[in-house]
Amino acid sequence: MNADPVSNDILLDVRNLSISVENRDEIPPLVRNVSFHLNRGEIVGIVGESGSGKTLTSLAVSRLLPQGLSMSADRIDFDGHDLVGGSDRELRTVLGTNLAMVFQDPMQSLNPARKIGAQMIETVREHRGLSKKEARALAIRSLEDVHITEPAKRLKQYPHELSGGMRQRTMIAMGLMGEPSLILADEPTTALDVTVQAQVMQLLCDLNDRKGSAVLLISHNISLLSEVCDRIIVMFRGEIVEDLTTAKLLAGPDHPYTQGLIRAVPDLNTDRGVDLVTIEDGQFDVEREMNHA
Amino acid sequence: MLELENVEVTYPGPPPFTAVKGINLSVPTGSTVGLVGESGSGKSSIARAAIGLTPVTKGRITLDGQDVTNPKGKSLRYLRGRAQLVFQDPHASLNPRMEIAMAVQEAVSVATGKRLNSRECADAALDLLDKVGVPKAAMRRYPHQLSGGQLQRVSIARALALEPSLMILDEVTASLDVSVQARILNLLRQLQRELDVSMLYISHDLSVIRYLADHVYVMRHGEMVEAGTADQVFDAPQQEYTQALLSAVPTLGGSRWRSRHDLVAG
Repeated sequence: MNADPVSNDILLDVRNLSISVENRDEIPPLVRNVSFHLNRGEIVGIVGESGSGKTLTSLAVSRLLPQGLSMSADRIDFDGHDLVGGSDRELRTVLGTNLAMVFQDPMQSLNPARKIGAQMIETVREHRGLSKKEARALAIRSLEDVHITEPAKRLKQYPHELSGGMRQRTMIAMGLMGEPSLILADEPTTALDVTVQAQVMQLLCDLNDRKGSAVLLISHNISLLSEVCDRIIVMFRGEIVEDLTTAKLLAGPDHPYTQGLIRAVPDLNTDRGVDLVTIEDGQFDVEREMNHA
Repeated sequence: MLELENVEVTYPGPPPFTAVKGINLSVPTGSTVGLVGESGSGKSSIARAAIGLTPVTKGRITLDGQDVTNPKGKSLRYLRGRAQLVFQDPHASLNPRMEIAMAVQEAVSVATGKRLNSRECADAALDLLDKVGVPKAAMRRYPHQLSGGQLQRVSIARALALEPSLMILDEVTASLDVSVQARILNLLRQLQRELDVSMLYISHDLSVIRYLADHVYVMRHGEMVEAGTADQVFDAPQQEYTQALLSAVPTLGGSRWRSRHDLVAG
C-alpha cells in the first residue's frame, strides 16, 4: 500500500500508537504499535473482542483517554493538524468541530438535567462562535438531517424523553453541527434493537454519501462492519492483526484470527447440524488464556 | 411439557403496565423453543412468569400437566425442581463470596435433599463443572476471578444440578464476546443431544435463535406476532414485523445500507 502521509486523500494518519498504564511498567502496553490511516470519505471499521484495544485506540485519536493511561505515537495527523505535538487550543478547535463522536450509551454523553436544545447550542457556540439564533437554526437543520421529526419540539425536551435510537441520532446531529470530516462511532448500535440499528446504520451511510464525512466505525460485529465498510481493521490484544478491504474479507481473510471471528458467529444461514467453529488456536483463544491466568 | 395459555402479566402502577397481553406458548418435551423480540416485547416477563418470579395476572401455566400458575408451597417446589432459569448476567446470579465449586455444590445439595453427604455433593458438583467445560484450575476460584463465558458455564452447571426437565435461558450470550458465545452455543447443543432437557431460549438475536431452535415465537409489545417451526418463521415469515426483523439482521457481505458500493478487490 502506498500510504503517503502528505497526500490530500489521507484524513487520519496514525503511526506507532501505543497506550500504557502510567507508572506500572510491569503491565504490558494495552495497545502496541498500532498504525493505520483513513482516507477522506472512507468508511473504515475496527473489529475486535473485549480487551482488543479498539476503544482505547479511538479514544487516543480523540484525545479522550481516561486518566491513568498514557499514549505515545510517532504521529497522529488529522485533517492537516498534528494531534500529538499541537497546542491545546488547536486540539480543542480541531477535535471540537472536525471530529464527531458517537458512543454506545448516549445517556452517558448527554446531560440528563439539561434540555437537548441547550446542549446542542452550547457546543456549537463554543466552537464556532455563532449567535444563539444562528445556533438554534443550525440545531434544527441538524436534527432534520438525522431524520428526527418535530425538531423544534425536541430542542425543548430532556434526553430521557427520547427513545434510545432518537438519542443516538441526536448525538450524531450534535456532531454534525461542526461539519465534521470524520465521524468516530464506537459501538453506536450495540444497545439498540436490530430495527433501530438498521436506521442508525442507514443514517451514517447517508451522511457519508451526502456530506462526505469519513466514518471510523468500531464494533464487535464483523457482519455489521462488512455491510458498510470499505475496509476493516482487525484488532486482537492491543495489536492490529489484519487491515483488509471488505472485498478481501469476503473472499477469505489471510489471518487465522479473522477467519475465526467470521466463523464463530452464526448467521441466518448457518448449518444447524454442525457445531460452530471456535477459535481453537491457542494464540488467539480468549477463554483459554483466562483459564491459565 | 410447558404450556402457557392466555397468559397476561401486568405490573402494578401507577400506572399499571401490561407487559404480556394474553399469549399462548408451548414447549414440547425434548424440543428447543426460541422466543425472539426487541426490547420491551415482554420476552423476559414470560421467562420470569414461567418460573414463578413474576405474578401472572390472567391465564394459566402448566408444566407436565401440573398447574404452576403463581406457584407457592408444593407447586413452587414442584416447579423449581423441574424448571431452571439462567439469566444474562452471571455476576448477578452468583454469590461473589462463594467459590464456584461451592456455589454448584450448594445447588446439588438442595437438589438431592439428604440423599448425598457433603463429600458426594462436592464430587457431583465437580462432575457438573467438568461437563460444562469449566477447567479444574478454575473450580476453587471466586466469580470475579473468572471470565464472563466461564461464569455463564457455572450458571448453567448450577441449573443442571437440579436435573431440570426444562431450562429457560434468557439472553445468556448477550454480554459475551463472539468467540465465547460460540462455545456456549456449542455447549447448549451438546446438552440438547446428551440430556433429555427441553429449552426455552430467549434472545433478541435472530441468528442465534435460527441456529438453536426447533420452534420459534416472535413477540412485539407484549403480543405474539408469529409462531411456527423455525423453518416456517425464518424461511417464509407471514407477518410484516417478522419480515422487517429478519431484513434488519446484518449479514456478512450484505450491503443494504450503502447506495454506492465501490468495493475494490483486495
